Amino acid sequence: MGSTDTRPPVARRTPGRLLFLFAFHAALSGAFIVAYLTGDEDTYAMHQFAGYTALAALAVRLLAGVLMPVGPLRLPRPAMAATRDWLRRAAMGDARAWGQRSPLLAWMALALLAVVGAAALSGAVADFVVPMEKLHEALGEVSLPVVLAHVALVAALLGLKKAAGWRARPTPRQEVIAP
Amino acid sequence: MIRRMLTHTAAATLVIAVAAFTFQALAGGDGIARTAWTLTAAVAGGDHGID
Repeated sequence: MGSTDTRPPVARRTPGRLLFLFAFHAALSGAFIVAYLTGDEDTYAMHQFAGYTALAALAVRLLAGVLMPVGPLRLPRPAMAATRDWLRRAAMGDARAWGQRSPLLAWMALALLAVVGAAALSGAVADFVVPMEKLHEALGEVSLPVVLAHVALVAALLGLKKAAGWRARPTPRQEVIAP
Repeated sequence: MIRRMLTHTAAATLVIAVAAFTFQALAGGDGIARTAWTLTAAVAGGDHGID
């Protein structure tokens, strides 16, 4: 009864793992929005609360990624060759490329984790090392365009997916009416 | 899936905003009215709060 399957184990996309990803996305994006809107001096305690929430969400996500390096919880690992190949096929009008998960999402996830993580971490450090405040402010300003680019990319990929679906729809057959 | 993510994000934003507001109002000792005023001024783009 020995198994001959030598493939590496692949962690499945279970409802629990998906829920974790949804919760992480919600916590990080919610904390980012609140922290960005309360950057004013008068709302400093709110800004701090939201910033530390974002930092905690990122820490839990990194820990999950390190503990589960395979499957849906693994940290984004963008591949240059796969991205080039997808871009070439998408530009050529390949409907299958339009419909599949784009490798650009991994690049975007990495950029978001890096920029928002750096903003949150520098904010925490700035609580103790005051000169870090300028860097924290700069990183906060840089992170907004990256977040907006993420939203734009998701919307564009959704549009491509819909276009691929329309293309794949069978054209109505011409009825041949016997004379 | 995107609609679900947006709903979760909106809900989380609300929860975190309320928690942060409560933190500033109670732990910061500012009180609810003062915190509400400073938050309104900050979000509306005002330079100063109640001072």
